[in-house]
Amino acid sequence: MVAYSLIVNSISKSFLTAENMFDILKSSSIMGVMAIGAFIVMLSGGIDISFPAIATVSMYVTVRILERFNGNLFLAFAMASVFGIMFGCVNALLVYYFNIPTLIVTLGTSSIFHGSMLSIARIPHIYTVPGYFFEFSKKYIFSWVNGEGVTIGLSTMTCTMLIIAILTWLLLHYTMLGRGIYAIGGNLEAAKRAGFNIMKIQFFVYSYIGFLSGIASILYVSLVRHVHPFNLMGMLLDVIAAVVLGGASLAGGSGTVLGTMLGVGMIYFIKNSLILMKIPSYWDPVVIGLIIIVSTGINAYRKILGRSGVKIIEA
Amino acid sequence: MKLKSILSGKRPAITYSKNMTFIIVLIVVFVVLSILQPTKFLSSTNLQQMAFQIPEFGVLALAMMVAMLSGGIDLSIIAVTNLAGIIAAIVLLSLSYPESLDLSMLLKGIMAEEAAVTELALQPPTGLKMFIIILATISVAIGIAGVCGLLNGVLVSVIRIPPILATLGTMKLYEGISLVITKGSPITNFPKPFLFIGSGTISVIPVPMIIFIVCVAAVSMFLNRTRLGFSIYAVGENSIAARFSGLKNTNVLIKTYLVTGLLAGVATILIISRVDSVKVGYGSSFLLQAVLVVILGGVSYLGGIGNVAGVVLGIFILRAISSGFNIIGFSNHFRNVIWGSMLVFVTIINYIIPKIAERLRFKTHSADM
Repeated sequence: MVAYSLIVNSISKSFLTAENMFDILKSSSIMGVMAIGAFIVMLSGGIDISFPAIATVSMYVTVRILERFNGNLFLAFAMASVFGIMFGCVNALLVYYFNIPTLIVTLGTSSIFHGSMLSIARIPHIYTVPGYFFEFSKKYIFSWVNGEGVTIGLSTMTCTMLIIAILTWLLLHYTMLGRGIYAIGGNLEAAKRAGFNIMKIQFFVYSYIGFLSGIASILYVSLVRHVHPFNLMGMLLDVIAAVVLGGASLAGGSGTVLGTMLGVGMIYFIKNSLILMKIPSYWDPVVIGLIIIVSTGINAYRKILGRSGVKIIEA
Repeated sequence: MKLKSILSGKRPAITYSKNMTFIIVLIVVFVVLSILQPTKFLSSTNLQQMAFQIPEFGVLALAMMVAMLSGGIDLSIIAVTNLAGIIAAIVLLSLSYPESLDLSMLLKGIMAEEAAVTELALQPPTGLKMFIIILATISVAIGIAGVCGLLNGVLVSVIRIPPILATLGTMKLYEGISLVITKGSPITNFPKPFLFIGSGTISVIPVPMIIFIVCVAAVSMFLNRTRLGFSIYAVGENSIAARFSGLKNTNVLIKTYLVTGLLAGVATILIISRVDSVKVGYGSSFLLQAVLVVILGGVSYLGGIGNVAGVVLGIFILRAISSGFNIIGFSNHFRNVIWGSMLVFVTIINYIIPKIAERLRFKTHSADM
């Protein structure tokens, strides 16, 4: 990664500047928050592809309500997360009680959530977002002004992401619930026999990703300043790519929060460097696709090499 | 041969009852729609339109089915369809109008090309030459799709990436390549003879329907009468057992995804020759529907269980409902809600029915005691 950034810097001088680095951190915070949620689901052995839909719907409903009534930023975060948790519980209900594969559940619920919003809402775009939303993304925890008069600093958005990451890490490593998530991802049956409450854990996992999608959606509104019904939907693959790139295994039970954050950083790093190297954005999906294939490929292939002794049984 | 007899001996008993339910559902859907909208639903234009729309979606669903039978899933079929379609369209146009359309002009998109075709009043070649060009186009489309499928197969079986991730990655990759080639603009204005494949009729039967029937027959023969077909079922049902009974799983999986790719290639031809254009992202709503229809058709997402007849009936049901919605005037978004609910609902039913059946059996069993 260091080598890569040096190469990019030799092509475009503006890459390795503090300004660009903090910019990457700021713009990656939305994806970072979502990626932590997606990571937790993958850790528990599932996959959730409905979180962009959850984020879009909770974003829309929250902003629509707050547009009518007076509110503040705290209320916005609270409402969006409550909506997110509700949608997450629907997923958890289906996954736990009917034992449906998570991909199929969330494929279904994703189109249910997003489709209902689009068919009920007559105008799915909102441009009249209350002012306190933007204030949030403009604030900095600390900042300075560089020679050209541009403010550089650690944005509150980045901070939100970092706080969530640290809390999630603590949760995963120091609570029974967190160890339970690792356990059901590693081996569901073993976790059940060991006395973990599977229902509680699964409900937690899916409402947690719902909660984080709610948070991410408000971050998105505050950065972009309008509500668009399709933009967030396009983030699905990038988020999953980031999580997989960060070393989480689709089979569950392995991966770290730090890895996920590095994965998100890597994706934004590459996207940003493509822009600075003046490569047309048509190449974005090609690069992302290659990254997914290569990174999952390396992981999978390493597993084969490591276990060549039991290869016959594995196949 | 032993494997064959075991598998074929076991399957019909399970699927027979399921297919009967599908036929009943299909009849109910037809009757309800005919009662609700008698003039519109049963009109010949609507029926003919359905006959044109079923094949392209149907072939994609068959492709998805083959992948799911092996215990995997192929999320890249739509992207493969688009990529193969775009390259085939470029081949078709540059062969048909060699004198005035250079490649760069073609890639600039629809406007330049439309102007060229109408202003210069270009005539595509006729007779045998056109036939050869069309043949070349078809083989390019199927070839490209086959190569894409082969890559999926290698990633899934040799490198052993989980199928969801491998095909998610290749989906993005193929989509990206199509985007790089076309820059997002559509390619249109195919020569008339080519359009016959997708929109012509032989007496009253649409050509795509004939192709679809051929595909259904071929896939059904392939799954039930060939060694590879049985191997796919065996690998899907229990890959370790298949391995120990002497199957080369790696080979089987590569060929599975190759077949999926080839079918996506056939779908490409049907799509681009019906709508007379090709564009990145065309048909992306088919992905959800294809998974839905395969599961609706009784294929197990764990692999190994399911047959062509169930999926074909599922396709007809889905299309009938879809065109019913069209007539009633539901929006696209609302249709998505219904597909999603159906997907969840059908999987729930598939989960509950065996449980109930087991409980009943247990009850009668204990009563006997």
